[in-house]
Amino acid sequence: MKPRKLIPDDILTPGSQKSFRGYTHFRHSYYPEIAIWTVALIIPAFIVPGPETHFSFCLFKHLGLTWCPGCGLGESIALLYRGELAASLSVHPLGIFAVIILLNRIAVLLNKQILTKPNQHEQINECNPRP
Amino acid sequence: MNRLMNVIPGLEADEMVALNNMTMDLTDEQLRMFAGIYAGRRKTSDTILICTILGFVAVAGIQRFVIGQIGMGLLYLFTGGLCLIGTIVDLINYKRLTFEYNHKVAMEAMVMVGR
Repeated sequence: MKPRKLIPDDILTPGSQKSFRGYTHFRHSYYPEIAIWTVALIIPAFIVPGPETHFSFCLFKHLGLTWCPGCGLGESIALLYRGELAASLSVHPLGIFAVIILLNRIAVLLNKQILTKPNQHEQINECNPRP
Repeated sequence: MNRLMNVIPGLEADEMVALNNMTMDLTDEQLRMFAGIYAGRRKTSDTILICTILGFVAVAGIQRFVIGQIGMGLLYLFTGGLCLIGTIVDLINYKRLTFEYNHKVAMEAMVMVGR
């Protein structure tokens, strides 16, 4: 029996909006990572800028280290949300960079998650043969 | 049976299912070529795991560089893996990250094979 074509021809064309459908039970969900980065971007919105005004999320600090390269990132993003660009840069220069990169990552993951949604009628493979 | 398992040993289950569906229509010649390209470029999840664990003892973010996410890699590198939280996220997430990368590699290999 000739195997039925599962992948349309134009799927591999650059810019094609068609998705690869073939994942079944093993299809990975990208939602956990999407959720984590979303939370990471939302939490700084509730931070009041200033020294020691909020609970520190830095695990290095909780482990007893006095300095860590990432400390101040949350405050920097908080200042950015309030429009204080110069202050944001002075607290941690990577605040803007972090927001851009995380937003980009969320977009990429959402794109993959939605585009690779399996079609119920095309879930045929060795583990899930055609009835 | 599974044609790919003969050519690339050490495939993981999720990977195998995805590749099987992708390569269903390839001829044997094309499949050999595909397997050669893919096997040379794929990363094992062990590599990613070890790179992630390096984030606890030395430099964070190597795993993100390895799978080609330069922006995330730089962010991890200069913030100590987002104060260790990002490193722990990747420690939980390493299989998914590997699969994501390998799936991209498989897509590229399919283009190279001429499908």
